[in-house]
Amino acid sequence: MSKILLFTKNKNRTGIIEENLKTFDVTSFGDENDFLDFLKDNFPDVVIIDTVNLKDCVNFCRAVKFTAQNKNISTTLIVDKDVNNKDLFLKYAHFFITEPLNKEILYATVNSALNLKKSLGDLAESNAELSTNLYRLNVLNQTVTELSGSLNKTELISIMTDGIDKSLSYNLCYSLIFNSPEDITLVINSVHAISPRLEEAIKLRAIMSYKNVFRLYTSNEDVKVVKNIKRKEIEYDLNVFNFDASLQQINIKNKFFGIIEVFREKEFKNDDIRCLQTLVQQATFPLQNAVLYEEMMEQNKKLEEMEKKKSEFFSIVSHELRTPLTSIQNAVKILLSDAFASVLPEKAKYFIKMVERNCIRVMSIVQDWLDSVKAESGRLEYKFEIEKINPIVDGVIQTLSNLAEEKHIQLSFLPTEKLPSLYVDKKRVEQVITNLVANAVKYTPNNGKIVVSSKLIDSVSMKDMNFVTTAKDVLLSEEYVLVTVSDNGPGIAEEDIPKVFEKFEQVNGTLSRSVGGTGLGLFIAKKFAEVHNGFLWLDSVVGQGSNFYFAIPVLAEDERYEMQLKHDISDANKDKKSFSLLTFCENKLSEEPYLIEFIKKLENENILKKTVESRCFYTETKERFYYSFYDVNMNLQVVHFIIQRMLEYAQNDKILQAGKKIYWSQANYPDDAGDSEELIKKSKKLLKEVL
Amino acid sequence: MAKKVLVVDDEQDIVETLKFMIEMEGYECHCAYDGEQGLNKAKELMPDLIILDVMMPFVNGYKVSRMLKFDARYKDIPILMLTARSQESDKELGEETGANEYITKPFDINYVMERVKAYLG
Repeated sequence: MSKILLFTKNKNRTGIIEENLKTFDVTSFGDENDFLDFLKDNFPDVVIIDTVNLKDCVNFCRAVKFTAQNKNISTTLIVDKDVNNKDLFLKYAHFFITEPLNKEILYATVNSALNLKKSLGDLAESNAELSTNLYRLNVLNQTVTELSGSLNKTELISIMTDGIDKSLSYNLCYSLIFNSPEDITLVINSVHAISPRLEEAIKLRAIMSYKNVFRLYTSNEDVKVVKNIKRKEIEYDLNVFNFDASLQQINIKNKFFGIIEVFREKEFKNDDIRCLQTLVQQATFPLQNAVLYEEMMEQNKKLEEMEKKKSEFFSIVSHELRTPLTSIQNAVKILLSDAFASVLPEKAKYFIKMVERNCIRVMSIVQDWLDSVKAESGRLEYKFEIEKINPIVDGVIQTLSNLAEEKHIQLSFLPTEKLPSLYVDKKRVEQVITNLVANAVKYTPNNGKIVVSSKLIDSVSMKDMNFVTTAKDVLLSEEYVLVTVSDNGPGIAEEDIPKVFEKFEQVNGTLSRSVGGTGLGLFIAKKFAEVHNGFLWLDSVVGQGSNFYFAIPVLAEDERYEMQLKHDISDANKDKKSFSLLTFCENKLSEEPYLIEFIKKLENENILKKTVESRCFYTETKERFYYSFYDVNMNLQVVHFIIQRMLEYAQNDKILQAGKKIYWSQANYPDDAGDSEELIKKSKKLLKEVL
Repeated sequence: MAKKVLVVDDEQDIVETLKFMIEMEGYECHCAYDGEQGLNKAKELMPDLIILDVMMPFVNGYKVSRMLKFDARYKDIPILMLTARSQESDKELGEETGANEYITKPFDINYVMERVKAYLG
């Protein structure tokens, strides 16, 4: 029965109203304070206030409204016929009835008030539901964001469990994560501590559920348990199983992954279950990724190991082959030397030469293996020196002329005279050109023609050539020395051109078998070209022949220096070594830099070794000369010694008194800078005066 | 009197080949097959040149070189060191042992002979 609370000073009216509202439970008061006290502790559905003859009625109404607020009560006022501040009353009431009191109106108004209250109640309820849903959506959103940020299975499960806790406020939740039959983890999240008995029971229950879901056997000894307890004072026992529970399975790509069960004292509604399902589902994709990621990492590790083993195998085999091969070669050389020239019959010499030729062939294959393995692992060592290209090409042609003669191939060299010097590892450049020419000899038919040429080319005309590089924005040097090897062999089809420089790739398998080789030559050649900041490419017309181009940059002194520094840094990085870049600097008083003399002295005193020569660098600005050098083996002691000598020398020669200022700095790799450019910059920044 | 060369290497093939070529040039060649033997022979024979392998059992080439080069009596004997190419960083170690020159293995016999002649004139 709906409860009505009535306030009136008029006893007569109490009777009338109670009479008219017989179907309701009416409580009446005549005293303001008694009325408000009652209202404070009770929850009537409708309050009726008779304001006739009520002094200070506005304040009373305000007090009533204040007390009744948040209680969802409809207030009805009865007012005088002639009261004109109805607006004011409306502020404090939902309804008002004027004098004289009409039975029907009173009844209808109370009913309306009751209806209003009910609607308001419904509204509040759906509002509450809405805000719960909104909160859950937020949690879901946040959880999804967090989930997408992780590739760790355990972390993902804990993010998911956390999201479930936030939206469902569970008492206990466990998840069983199945990695492999040997690796099963049970994660228990609980508000309170759990008794050993309960833990055992959960374990059993989880495994039973798991078996039911996935029909898979596991024994409970294999399960690893992880517990996250919020509050330790109270302990849950088996009573947890009386709570409402919901079990969800986590499927990943139709493969079993795990189960999760949530226990809550408060019953789960449909919404709750849906929310739980959504959260679990949302975790599935990241978990799937995590599993794939794990698999990938494992595969990667295996691959890396295999690659390492392969490299090791290759280098062991290569070394083991090279030693006896060299012995054979040297013995053959002795046999072919003057010592035996008159003793051996020509026929014998013919066969010994055959041995020699085949030795060279096996040797070059072994060398190719070794180089390709090293080039791939980045373990090749380079020795850059200033060289001329033409003598190198000449040498290669000399070596390979026998090979060409055998096939009656005309092999010629058209050099351009006076080409600038290059900063290269002679052996590697030799190898590149050897591989290109040997390749041409291999594919060119008998009586063919191979022309090798050298010339200077600028970067603009190089861009015009048909040159392909994998790097999109290559920083081209101004000038290159271009070595071209042209043959009139069968040519290479356009679609096969990119394959030429791949490892173990020989275009046209049937042909390759007849010409032999490892398929590594051009792969290595390309790697070597790249090491020199150079390029290797080709163009070809089927049936007419191919042109292979090898471009080596012409470097200024500072570019050479920087290239060397870059290589040394990469080597130092590999070996986890550190070294110092020393820079000296002097103000210009004359045209002659004084520092050069000093460095020469150090070299004469054997303090600086020969290796430093290629690692030193002069520059000058308007006011200063700079001299930088480093030695990857220079230790701090040597550095200090050099500075000391500098000081002594400068004082003895009284050059400092002559107004000369000398500065020095020491920049260390990797402590001060991680790359060559930065190291050079840093060394200039750190300059300080000697003395 | 013919100049004396001492070849120290544990690999017999290498020693034999070098010996043949050295003798062909008219020098006197002595051989040793490990570091200890090499050291003893060097002290005993006072050769004009030593060709020394790095990788040898017991006493390696570095040790031999160091022991000779830091002894005033033998420090002037030139030493040609034979190293495996893969151990390029060993070179640095070698430099501190005072060897005069390094030749990476496997080597071209003709090149080694050129160097030998350069030292012995």
